Amino acid sequence: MKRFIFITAAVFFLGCTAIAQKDYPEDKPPEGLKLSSILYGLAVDPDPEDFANKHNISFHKNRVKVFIYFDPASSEPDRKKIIERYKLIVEKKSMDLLRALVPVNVLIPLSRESVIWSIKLPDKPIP
Amino acid sequence: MPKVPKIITKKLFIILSTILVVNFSFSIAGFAKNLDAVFKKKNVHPKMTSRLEKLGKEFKKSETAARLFALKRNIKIDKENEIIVYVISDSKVYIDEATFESFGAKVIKRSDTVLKIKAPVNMLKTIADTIKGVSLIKLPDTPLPLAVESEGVVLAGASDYHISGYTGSGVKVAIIDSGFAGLSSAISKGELPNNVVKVDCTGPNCVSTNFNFETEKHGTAVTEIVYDMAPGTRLFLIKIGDTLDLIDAKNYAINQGIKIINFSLVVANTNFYDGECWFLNPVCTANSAYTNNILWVTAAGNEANRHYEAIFSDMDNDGLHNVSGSDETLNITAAASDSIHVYLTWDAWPGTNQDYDLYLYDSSDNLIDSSLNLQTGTQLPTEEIVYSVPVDGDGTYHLVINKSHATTNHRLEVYSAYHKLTPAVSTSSLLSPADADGAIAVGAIDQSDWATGDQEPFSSQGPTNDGRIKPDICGPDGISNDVFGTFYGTSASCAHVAGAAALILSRNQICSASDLMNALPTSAIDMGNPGKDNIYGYGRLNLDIHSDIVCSDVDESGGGIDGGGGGGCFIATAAYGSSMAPHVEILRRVRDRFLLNNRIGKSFVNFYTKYSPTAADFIAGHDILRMFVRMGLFPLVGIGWVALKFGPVFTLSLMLLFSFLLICLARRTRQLLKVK
Repeated sequence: MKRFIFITAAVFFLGCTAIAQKDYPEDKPPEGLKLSSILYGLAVDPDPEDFANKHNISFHKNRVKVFIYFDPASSEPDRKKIIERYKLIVEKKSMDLLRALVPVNVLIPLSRESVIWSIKLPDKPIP
Repeated sequence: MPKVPKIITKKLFIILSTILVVNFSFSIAGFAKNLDAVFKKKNVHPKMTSRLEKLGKEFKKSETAARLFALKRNIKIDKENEIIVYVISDSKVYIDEATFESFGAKVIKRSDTVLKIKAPVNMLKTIADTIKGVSLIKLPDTPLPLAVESEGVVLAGASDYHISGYTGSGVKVAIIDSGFAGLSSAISKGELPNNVVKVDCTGPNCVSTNFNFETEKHGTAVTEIVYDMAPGTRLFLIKIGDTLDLIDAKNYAINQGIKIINFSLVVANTNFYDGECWFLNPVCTANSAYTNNILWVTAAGNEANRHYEAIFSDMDNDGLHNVSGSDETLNITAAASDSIHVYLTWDAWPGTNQDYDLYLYDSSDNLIDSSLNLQTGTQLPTEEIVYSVPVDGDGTYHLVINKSHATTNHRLEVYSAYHKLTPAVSTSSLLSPADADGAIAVGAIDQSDWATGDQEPFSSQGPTNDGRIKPDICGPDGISNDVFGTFYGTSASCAHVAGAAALILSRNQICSASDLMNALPTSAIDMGNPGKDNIYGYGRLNLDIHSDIVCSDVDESGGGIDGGGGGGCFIATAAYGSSMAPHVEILRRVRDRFLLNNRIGKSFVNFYTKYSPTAADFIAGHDILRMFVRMGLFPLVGIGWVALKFGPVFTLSLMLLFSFLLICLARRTRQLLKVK
């Protein structure tokens, strides 16, 4: 009987601590990267196309569609330089926000640029 | 019998001559525009329907004119300018098929006295005139599909508006949505008109499109409701993919003179749901539309069961948010191939160094996805997970919120786009732009519970996170819809309100967006707690045809009506029998162009709009009176036509010249009479 109570209590205890035993990884994008974690995941994944499919990301010819927020204080020539240097295909822009098709392999260096505030997936409406 | 003094006779003569000359002069201008329709009946061909005869006449002018005429009347002309018609023959005469061939026509089928033929448009009259035994040529009789009409039309009182002649005529409404699949089918079934304007703003610019490769039907279903409510409106269907497209769509609407936008979509994680405009989010866009005199009608959202909010709490100091007691998980039940889409934000907008993270676990407590955005100062306080459930992945999924680095406990907001959250918090479950000051947010009541409530359990509730009461009003859902069968959700409710606004605008053309925003709640039937509340807003949508629509605001953008209808020209419409008559259109254009852009003109239009319907009703019931009114309106129409064609300066100069000539004529006549 004692053994039974002990086993039951042990099972119960383990069950209770299951959540606490979960793994909470801290593999955030490295400091200085102004990239959302899902885009960072895409950039470092060995199979970005598969990653994009799993996460419903618009991905075509190794390019991903993103919103780029520029530092409002940055100048237009500086922004142009960045666009040219990283061969971004600009789809549309409004003030400090740009929608562009960015090659996956430049996401990380692009996000380190000082004129960029952040890079994230486009905000899509929900029906 | 007393003698009439000679001087009075002279004056009377002069006045009558003047009226006659003015009438005659401007009637000529009117006739120049082919305005007189009084004796048209005399010229109707005895063996052709008037539509076909007119088509033939248009074809004589040009092929383009004929095609335009046909397009407007849903008449199909093929590339070779041929048309399919019925030829009704005299029962005593057998018409040989070869006879038609000599006119370039071909018999497709025949039955008894009816022949279905394909003939060149320009030969129809010849066939009617030449072939012996032809009694009538007409367009084929096609069965009308039974259109599905939303029950909301009657429930909201729109049918009373329709009966009274207000159908939204002249009002431009944009439906901004994520897709318009099935549009062609809806048009062919008569669920939508064939003159809808189709625009795609997902590319670099907004461009005209045909929506042939669409998969998302939501926009079509929504449009169907707007059309049911206000069948006279001009509909602009605008497709978007994200919030930057939405800005383009709004700008397009402003440029097109659109007065009402229906937005049956919501967006997450672009502010703290407090009506703040950050980084060009949908609140900025809706508010901008409103300042440009566009009424933005928006769905409150279907998130009452998909929303959780609380202040971060960590009783056991493990860094994880305690959702309920010691439970640290928010649960989602998802099926295979579902897309789990969850958003987390906290009250640290716009940029923050307060860092929280979001984790997703499967039913076996395996970590399957996470959102670990860095928040080090400039980044948004947001996390977002998009995860496609594998084919064998049915089950319960768990969300966990981790405080990575934050100096205080923040208020957290979690939304799941497509799945219920357990536990859920229905209070304050509005997404953007339903939280915008410049938008009228619409909640949902099932049409079968319309009079009593309750509100739909999924319909998002207020208040906004800055404490404002929302939604503003409720519309019906659970209605019949050709696209979805039965259409549930605040998207459907929103479309009813947008259609209702179009009806009000067609009834009172000078209403501004602000007026409409006031008019809809004013006539709503209060539900729930007295006054505006966070569940029903001001209550359920109610279009009362007998209530006055007060439009006190000055519409700085120049009125709410476009150039395509006869809304408001009550007397002219009564006199000419149709709001689409060219005379009425000229008068309406004159009103829009020359009266609604100044205060005196607006006051006149206001006065006219208020008092003319009674007179119009009387005129419409008396044919002789209608004829006299038409004659009386001829000079006005003529002046209007000249003003529109050549501008106001030329018209004023012309009128001055006429006045001068008339004065000279009057003096000369007086001198002649004196001499005699």
